[in-house]
Amino acid sequence: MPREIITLQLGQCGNQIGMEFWKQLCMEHGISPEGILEDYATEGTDRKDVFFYQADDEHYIPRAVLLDLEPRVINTILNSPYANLYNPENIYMSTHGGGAGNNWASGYAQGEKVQEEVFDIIDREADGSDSLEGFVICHSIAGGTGSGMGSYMVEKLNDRFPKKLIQTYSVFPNQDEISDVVVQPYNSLLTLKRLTQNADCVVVLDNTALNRIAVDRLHIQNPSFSQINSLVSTIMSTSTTTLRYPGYMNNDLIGLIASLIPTPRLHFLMTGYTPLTTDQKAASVRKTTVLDVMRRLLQPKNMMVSTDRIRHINHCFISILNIIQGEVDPTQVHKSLQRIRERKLAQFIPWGPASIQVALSRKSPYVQSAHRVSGLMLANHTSISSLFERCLKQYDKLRKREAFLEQFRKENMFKENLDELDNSREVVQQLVDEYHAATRPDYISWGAQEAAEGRS
Amino acid sequence: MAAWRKEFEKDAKALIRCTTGFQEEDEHFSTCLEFVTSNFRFHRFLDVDSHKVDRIIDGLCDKYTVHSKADTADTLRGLILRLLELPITQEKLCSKSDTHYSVLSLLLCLSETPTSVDFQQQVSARTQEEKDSFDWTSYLLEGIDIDTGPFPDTPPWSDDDEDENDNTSSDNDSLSTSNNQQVASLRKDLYAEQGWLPKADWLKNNVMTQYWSERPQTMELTNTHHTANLTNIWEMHQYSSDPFYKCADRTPLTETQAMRESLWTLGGCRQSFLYRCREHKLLLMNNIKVSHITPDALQSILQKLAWYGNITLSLHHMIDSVLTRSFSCHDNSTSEPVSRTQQAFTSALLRCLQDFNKKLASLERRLVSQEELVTLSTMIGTLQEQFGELEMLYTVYHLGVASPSTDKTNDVLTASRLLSVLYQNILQFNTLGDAAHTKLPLLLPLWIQTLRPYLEIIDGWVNKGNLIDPAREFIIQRNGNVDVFHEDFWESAFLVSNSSVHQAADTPGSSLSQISMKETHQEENLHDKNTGKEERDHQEEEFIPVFLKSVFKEIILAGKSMELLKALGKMGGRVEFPVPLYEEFVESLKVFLDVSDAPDQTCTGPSPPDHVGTAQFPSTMLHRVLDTAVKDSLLEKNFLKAIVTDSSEPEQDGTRSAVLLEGSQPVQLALQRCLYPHILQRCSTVSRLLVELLKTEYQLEDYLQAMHKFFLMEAGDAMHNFYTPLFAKLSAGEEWQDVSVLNSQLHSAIQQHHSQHADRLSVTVEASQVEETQPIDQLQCLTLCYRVPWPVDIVITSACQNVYNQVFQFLLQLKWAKYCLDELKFADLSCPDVQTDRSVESEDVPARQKQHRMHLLRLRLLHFINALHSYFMTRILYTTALEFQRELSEASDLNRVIEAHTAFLTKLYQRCMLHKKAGLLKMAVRRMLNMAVSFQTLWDHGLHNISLESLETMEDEFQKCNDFLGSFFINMSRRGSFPHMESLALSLRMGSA
Repeated sequence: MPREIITLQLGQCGNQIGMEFWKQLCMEHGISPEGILEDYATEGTDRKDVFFYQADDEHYIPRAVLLDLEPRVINTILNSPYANLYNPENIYMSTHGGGAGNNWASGYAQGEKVQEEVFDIIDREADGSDSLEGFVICHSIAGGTGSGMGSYMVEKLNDRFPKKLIQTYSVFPNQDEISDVVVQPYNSLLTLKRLTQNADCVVVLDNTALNRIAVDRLHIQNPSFSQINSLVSTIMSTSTTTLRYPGYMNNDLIGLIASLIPTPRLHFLMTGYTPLTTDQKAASVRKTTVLDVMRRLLQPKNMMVSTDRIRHINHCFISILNIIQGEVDPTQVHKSLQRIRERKLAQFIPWGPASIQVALSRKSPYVQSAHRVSGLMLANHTSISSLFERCLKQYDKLRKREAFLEQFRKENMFKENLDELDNSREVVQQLVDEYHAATRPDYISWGAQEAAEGRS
Repeated sequence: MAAWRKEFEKDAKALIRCTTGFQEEDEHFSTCLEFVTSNFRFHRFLDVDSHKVDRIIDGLCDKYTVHSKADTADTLRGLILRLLELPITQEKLCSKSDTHYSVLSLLLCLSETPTSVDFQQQVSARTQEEKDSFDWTSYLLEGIDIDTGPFPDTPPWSDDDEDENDNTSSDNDSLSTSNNQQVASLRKDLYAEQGWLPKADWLKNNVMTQYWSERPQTMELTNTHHTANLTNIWEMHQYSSDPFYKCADRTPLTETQAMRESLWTLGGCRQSFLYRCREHKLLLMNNIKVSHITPDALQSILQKLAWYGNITLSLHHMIDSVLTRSFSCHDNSTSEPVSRTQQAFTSALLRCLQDFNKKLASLERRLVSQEELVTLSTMIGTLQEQFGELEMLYTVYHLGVASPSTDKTNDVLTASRLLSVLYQNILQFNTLGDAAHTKLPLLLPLWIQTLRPYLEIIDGWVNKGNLIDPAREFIIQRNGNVDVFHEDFWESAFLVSNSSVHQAADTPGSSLSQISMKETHQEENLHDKNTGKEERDHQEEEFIPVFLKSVFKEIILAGKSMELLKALGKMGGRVEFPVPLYEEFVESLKVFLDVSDAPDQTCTGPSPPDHVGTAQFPSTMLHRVLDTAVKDSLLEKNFLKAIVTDSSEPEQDGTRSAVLLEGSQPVQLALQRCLYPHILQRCSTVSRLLVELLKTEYQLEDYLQAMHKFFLMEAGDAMHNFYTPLFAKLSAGEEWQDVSVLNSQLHSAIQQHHSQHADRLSVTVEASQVEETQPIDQLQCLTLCYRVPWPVDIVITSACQNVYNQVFQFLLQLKWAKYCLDELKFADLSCPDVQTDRSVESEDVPARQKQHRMHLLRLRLLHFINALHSYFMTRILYTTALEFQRELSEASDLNRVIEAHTAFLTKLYQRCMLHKKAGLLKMAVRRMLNMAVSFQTLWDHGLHNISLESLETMEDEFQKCNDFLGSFFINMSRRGSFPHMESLALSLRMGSA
């Protein structure tokens, strides 16, 4: 009775990182691109049934739904060696193939249009699982399909499966290439509202930070999409590793996430991963002890979210979960935790429990790694609000000039007014406020204060 | 000639009648006649040698002079001169003829102690008595010493007995052959012994009647010398000094008689004139006197002899009783068999007594031949050494055999006691060093021989798995109630028997199993068990033979292992010790002596090197050892004797060679080098084999792993699959206690990766004994049950499973608490109307605040439970399991395995705060778990139904518990008593702290 997870890949970015994710999973589980279990992997004690199911002919099929409004990326997948991995019935491409044109409203409207077909697929997948744990959605918040259709899907999923977990891997746009999609502040804002209100957990993958890491840490000039995506897939696969390689504890997604999220809205997680290597032949082999790994994870430069330094707010960790992979002695882990605490390497919230939680996990026996220990950090840090603030600022600038709003007005949602945008802005502003409030000791009585302020 | 002969015969008959008192029809009479005739004709009175006679007369005269009887000497000389001048017959007038000398010679012969008589008195009548005794004793002694006697069928052991015995022994094949051998050798010894003893009877029947009955009632004192009349003089003195002195009626005896009587008594004769046997005690007759010793002096000397006589008597008595019992047990199976140790001891003792008796015999021969002066005191002097040995033997016998006889039924006691006493004596004498160098050579073989059955039992048990001990003499007894296939086998199958077997009733196994029953009582139980065990151990200590103490545990262990191996049917060809333990012991003793002597050899000088070459051969080795090492003449003598007497039995040579242990060579060392290594080697081989077998063929580790997987939830995914639906039902308040549903859930959960355990694992729901005051207690009645197959259940007993189950229940509760908090959905708390219905502002404020506080409480609870969870799952379970794994891989015998496992469980039990000592902690933790569960119910009721008060009480409670536990853990870890708690303590701290 596995706790199944259904993955939805939306849009260009979503499908690309999704493909990398499935590649990684196949490698780790010893499944060939055709979905056939490799000979060396038949004795494994891993759980493939969380993300895969077996067809009648013993093929492993990912519980993945591929959605896009243009066929380009999905066609690439279908021309890759992994073409036969996916269930063809789970692939939905818009018939006209026009895409959303980087327009959130278009993506949202098209999502509404095709929802019946899409939910046929999703329902079928949900019915096919014993005890569905939830959904993982891969998308970007800047483009059209990923953000617009993604927003729609998040809303609908929450309606249809209120008891199921919705986790998203949301790619935030690269600030250096902001000119690529000019309307991305609108798209981001509108998506953020849905993510705040309807998702249970959002793993923020900041393209800015990913690029920075690729350049700084991996010494790649002009990193390609696939290089960035391999970073993302590493994070995605590692964050699900405890589900796939069962151990003493952490056998479900909710168990991992629950303690990271204090209140309904503060569910945006940053990630960090160390040691990072582009390919396995990396020259620099570091000494990797548990303490090393955990210390590195706390360093901002390893964080896959690039936040702005804001002087007047003392940003801090709300919660941290470290997933440590490899042959690790728990005593070492506990000792490392003590050391980190003694040296006050992590600044925690003043109003709540302050400790790093650790989940230990095995490594895949089929993927060779130069490192004995590797670690992924999932952290709820208040500084993530700077991303939203940045978004708000950019939105405000655009909105002041009423720029690029014609495309939005074409869609039904914005035909009469732009209330939706204002509403979204308010929601995101509240989110930012709450994050700021969480840095203060009086957060416990925050609700009352806010209410009182509202009254006065 | 014929006429002369006739006359001679008549005279001879008269002489015999006169001297012996035999009548002519008596069978002895003819023997005497023959003797006299032959003496007359062929031995003494052939032809007289005049010079010889002259010399004798000269000597006699000198004697008289010496005895201050010069006048008598002169008279004698004058008389003889006159006699020689006299014509023999009327016809023949020649003097100094052969006839003269013949007459003289006759007279001289007839006179035995001419000096002791007054020459004026008639000589012939007085000398008769002494001469009688001389002739008879020498004659009788000849019969004793030279042949087995004219009555070969005198030994009371008839052939019928033998036959019977053989028949029954063939019936009683259950007895080991070694036992039979033992008996046979014992019997041989017995015959050798009886060669002496019945002759004493025979002596009594055939001689002593005549010897004593014909005694003159009053024996006239024949010597006038005042020293010879000391008794009379003393009596006279007494009489004169004390007017009321009543002269006791005493039978006069000669000193020789007294001495011989004493010797016989020492030899084991029960009835004699001097000593009367009353209830196995020799009583000295006090109505005797020896002319030249005062009665008191005589009394004291004879008392001493009587004391030793008592010793020999009781030793003989013991030997007799052991023999009769050991033989009778063959016929009568109901009677208590005699322990083989005792038999061995008896036979060894017998050998010692035989040596003693030989000494006695030679002494008596000396006495009889009267060629040298032997008095009572010199006799005691010569026997002093033997007496010392005798005394020591008796002490050993007394301590080892006689004194614990209060409980005759218990052979264990006697056997081990006997061995211990022997060993302690040896140690004692060993420490005395040279002062006791004569005792040691006596005791050591005695001990070694007595040890033999014991070692054979050990050998048989450890090597072949058979505890053959019909006499129940071995310290360890099989508890017949416990089958080898039972899980209690290891704990209680073998008992160190002290007084009785009924102690088996409350032996271990039971105590551990009670742990689960009542939590409140279990600590006491554990405690009781420990103290009880200590007590029992202490008790046992006393009964274990001292020398075995150091290897005792190993022996038990190996014995049990062997029996288990046998039951497993896996011993064939795996354990091979072709040489019996005893022989190996003896062999290495020899080698040990050899080695330890080697330096002696080099330093003592010119020892021929070729001895080294021949040293491999046991027989020559003995000589070599003799050559090189023996400097003590007495040891040498002893050793030589050993070789001479026992050369037929090679292994006895070995035991005798142990004699060579000089004072400088501690016995413990010998044991350490020669006995313990063999025992230990056997033990360790067997133990290791068993452990290997359990680990390889019986998958001990797999089963332990299974326990970890399911009870300790190491198989996280499978157990997760099992408990998640269960928790869902629990949280929803549905009926969940359906065993069949639970079982099917469990089986489907473990199907994927652990299907091989599916048929062994099941879940049961017991009607819970504890009042369900708190929701978390509901899970208390859920237990897992894993059927562990034999023989692995020796390690994983049901008692162990109980502990596992308690840990399991605790973990399950923890998981449930975590589950409850994990499953909380923010949407469930905040009802949708709160957001839409903003009209009632006043209500909105506390609602928002309540909601926020609920969120935060959730986080803190969750955090606490997670910290606890990860602490237990990683810090405790994982590390403890790793420690256990290490110990398990190092364990070389099953005991160690069991110990490691028990220690592991105890540690788990303590670390999971189930121990009573952590009662406060446990309570606080349980309150937290409870809070988690009730928090979930509260949450699911929706925000509108939560009163601010209930929220506040819960916040309060959480704060208290959290603070308490936090500070408690900190303190604990600071004190260092639970260093592993530090991480938990730290993780409970608030960020502000």
